[in-house]
Amino acid sequence: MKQAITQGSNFWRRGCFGLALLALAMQPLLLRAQGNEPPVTRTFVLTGATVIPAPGQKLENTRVVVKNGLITAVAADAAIPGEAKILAADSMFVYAGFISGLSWAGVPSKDEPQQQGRQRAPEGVIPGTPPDKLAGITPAQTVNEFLDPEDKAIGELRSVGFTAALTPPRGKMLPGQGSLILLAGNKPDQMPYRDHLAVYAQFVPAAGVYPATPLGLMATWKNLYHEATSGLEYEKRYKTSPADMERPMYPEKVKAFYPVVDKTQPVLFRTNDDKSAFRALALQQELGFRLMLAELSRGQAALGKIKAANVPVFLSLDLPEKPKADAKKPEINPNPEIQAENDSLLKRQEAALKQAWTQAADFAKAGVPFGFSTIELKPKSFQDNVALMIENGLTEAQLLTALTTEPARLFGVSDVMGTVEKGKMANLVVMDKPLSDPKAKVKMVIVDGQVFEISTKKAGKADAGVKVSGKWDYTVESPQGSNGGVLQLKGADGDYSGTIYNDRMGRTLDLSDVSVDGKQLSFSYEAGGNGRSFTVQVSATLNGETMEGTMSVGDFGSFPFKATRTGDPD
Amino acid sequence: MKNILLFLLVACLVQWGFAQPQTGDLLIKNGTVITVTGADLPGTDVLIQKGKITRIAKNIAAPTGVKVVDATGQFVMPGIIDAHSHIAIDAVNEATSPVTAEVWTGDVIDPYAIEIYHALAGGVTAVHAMHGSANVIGGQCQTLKLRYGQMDPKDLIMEGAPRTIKFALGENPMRVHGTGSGIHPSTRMGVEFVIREALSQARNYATAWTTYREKVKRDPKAAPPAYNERMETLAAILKGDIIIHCHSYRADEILMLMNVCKDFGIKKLCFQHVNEGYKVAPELAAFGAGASVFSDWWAYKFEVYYSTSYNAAILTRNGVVTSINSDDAELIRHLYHEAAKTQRYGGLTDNEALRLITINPATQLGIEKRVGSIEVGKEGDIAIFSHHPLSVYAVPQMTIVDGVVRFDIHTDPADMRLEVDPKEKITPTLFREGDQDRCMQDTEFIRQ
Repeated sequence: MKQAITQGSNFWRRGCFGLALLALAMQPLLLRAQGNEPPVTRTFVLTGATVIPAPGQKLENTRVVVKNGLITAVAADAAIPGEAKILAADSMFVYAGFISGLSWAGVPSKDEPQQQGRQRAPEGVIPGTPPDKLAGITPAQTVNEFLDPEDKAIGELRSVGFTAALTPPRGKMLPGQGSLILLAGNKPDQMPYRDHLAVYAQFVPAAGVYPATPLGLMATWKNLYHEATSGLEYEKRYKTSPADMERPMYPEKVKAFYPVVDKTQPVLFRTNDDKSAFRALALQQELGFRLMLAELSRGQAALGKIKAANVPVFLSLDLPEKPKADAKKPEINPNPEIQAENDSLLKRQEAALKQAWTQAADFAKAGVPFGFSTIELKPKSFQDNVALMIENGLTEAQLLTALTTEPARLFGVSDVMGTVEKGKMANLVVMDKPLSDPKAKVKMVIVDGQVFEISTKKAGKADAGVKVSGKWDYTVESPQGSNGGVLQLKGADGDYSGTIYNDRMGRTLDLSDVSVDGKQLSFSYEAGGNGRSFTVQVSATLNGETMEGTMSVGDFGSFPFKATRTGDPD
Repeated sequence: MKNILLFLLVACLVQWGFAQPQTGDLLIKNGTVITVTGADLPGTDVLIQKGKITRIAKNIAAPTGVKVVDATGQFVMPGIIDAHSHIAIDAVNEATSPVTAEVWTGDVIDPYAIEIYHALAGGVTAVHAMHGSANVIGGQCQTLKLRYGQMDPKDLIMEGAPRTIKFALGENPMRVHGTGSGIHPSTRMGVEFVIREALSQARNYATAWTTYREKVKRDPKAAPPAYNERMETLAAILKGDIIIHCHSYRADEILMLMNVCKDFGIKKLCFQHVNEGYKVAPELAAFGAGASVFSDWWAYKFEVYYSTSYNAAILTRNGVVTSINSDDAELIRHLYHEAAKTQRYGGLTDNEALRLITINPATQLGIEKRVGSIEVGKEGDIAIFSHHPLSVYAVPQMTIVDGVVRFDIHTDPADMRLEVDPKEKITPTLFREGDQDRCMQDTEFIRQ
């Protein structure tokens, strides 16, 4: 009897444990199902919408029928299938899903805080002969190994209308192969639409090992290309008749360059400014590979050369902010000479801002086709940046071309993406106003037939009851030790501003992009000195009189951030 | 103000692809022309057409459309050439390996560097943009023309200038690689070994490729040797296609490198710094090696405790092709003063002193047939000075590269940056009234 009881309780214990395990295992599933229910039907119809099937075209009061991920009809009188769910889109505008020419959505960054100052090679590595991985020369690896459908950057980029993106691995000079991925999917292998679309390259040298500078980086590029040219030539001969021939034994990185050498695969080069664009173009002209430029900002100086070389280009969607109209006027200096100098410096800075905002229009005017890339875009500012470009001379048709048909053409997927047409993949954006309207909001994004409703709750509405404004004492824990100062936040309801003072720097800096979403506060500011500036971003959770979160400082890494309210702002 | 607007307009035009012509036409009237390779010519005109000097004579009539510059009372000299500079490049040292012959400063030119304009304001028209001295065999260097205003980095390259490469002896490579990474070289013996080893490998590499290229003509099954950019460069030195410019201080290491070069049949050699060059001047002359020196700077580290301000003069009088360099973005602004010091220390003639910053550095860079003197057929690189350039009162007035005015003391706007950071915080210049007033107290006579 005693034994039986024991057995029984054992059984119970095991049973309970098993159930607990099961519940634990189910939890992520349950959570996911709440946010993203499996669709009851994969057939639906958008009705009553103004459809922009392609840039410059317009169909009023039109239906878009989607079935199993495909657009099956676009017409005012399209038949509505019996199983279809009706999505009323009256007074809405339907565009083809946007395609980003370069993004890291789906490839979360591993926050590796970088050391400042001179970098050293890791223990045991001779700096001149590092392993390829440390040197950042891994052109053979593909992004598919790194995709994470849970990455929140996917949802953020999608929420402004993007449905696909050329996504490469992260890394240094040659991180690997990019794929065109769909910004949806529950498993990594559902995301890539087309693999090996381009070898991704950037001007990022290795840290403390060769190539540690742009000098070594450029030489490495040439060396790899010539090695591959020689290797490919030999391998071709070997393939024809291998008897009596030494087995070719070229390293993986060299083999990965064969498609670059024989021009079957382009190189997508991240070139943030005209100087790096010129540098990539010089490499291309010397070596002769197929080149695409991405993330270009203020690249007008290189426009002529880009056009002459007929190189496809993706312009950065990240634009410098427009100075706030109500920003306080700078003081007039009593010394007229200094005031005159100040005025002329300001004037040149305004011209530089203008240059950034007009880049797209200038490329369009010069007849250079372009798409957009989003590596540095903060999705929140997408609509503002669109408005800036339109204000500075870009037409809606040019904008839409750059967001849809042009990237589709450059990536060779025009037959399935880029327009709203029968037979194409159901990648769609539904907006409440035309795209070029600064007040337009994305209401719904459809990726491969999967519907995502976008809640456009205005920042500020959700923060009712959360008090942001105040004077806060903050501390940051960095590898150099703890430091801090005073944070001042003012305003209310989606119109916050503020300043931050750091004890160590002894300076007060203005905050930009102060926003509150529920209890989530975020802001950023520009810091630096000696001609080097970098962006500091803070995101923290408000909890009554305290907040806690992280501060990420340029490329240096992210550090814990804490603050306590000490009173009202000055 | 008008100037600033004009400058912005020009900058915009350049930026939008309507690039300024890289060569220009110009007539410089009635200056004292210091030809350097010939006699000084008072009251003489110099005509530049399509970037080349086409006539030197009195009373040249300006061809239609050619801009005229009045140089009456001024001195017209060849543009100054700096044989040792690190301006206008984004990286100087690929300090990760004792031999990095494959890297090239021409790959990392920064056309926006304001130092280019500062150098122009000191009458400089060409610089040797060098790799640093961290490695025994550092990178290839590039001779640049200071075409400030051109945005494409390639437009600053002096096309056709011979290839050059930086070597470095002594403490720098020993410290970086020996002390820093625990590899060779950690002694001067090691430095010599690194050079001999690299050149020997390159000789084998070149032989392997020559053999392969011959073999593959008959035998389609022949396998190529592994391609290597570093070895390609070193092999080009052995072929005589690249001039070595070697960072050096001590007499013993200078003799060492000349011996190594003799062993490998290398003839094109120029020493940089060469602070003990005066001890081995006859040997340098016999080898035919150049020497590019500071006017009067040493004792900044142990290996350079011995030197003399007479170095340039002694080398010159021993028949060594000698130049005075800056190695610095500030010193480059007054190389004409540096050259003048050789008159105080060594009594060089005006012509000998001016050669140190014109035709001699040109010879060391292999561009002496194109620049470095004012002669018909040479390129229109000219500096115009208010007084004789060796006078302490000399102020550069105008600097011309390929017939294009790139610096004009009278018409250039105050802000000559080509690039402006749209996010940079503007901080006004902080002058107190007294700062300006006091520093020019009692100097009115200068301005009269």
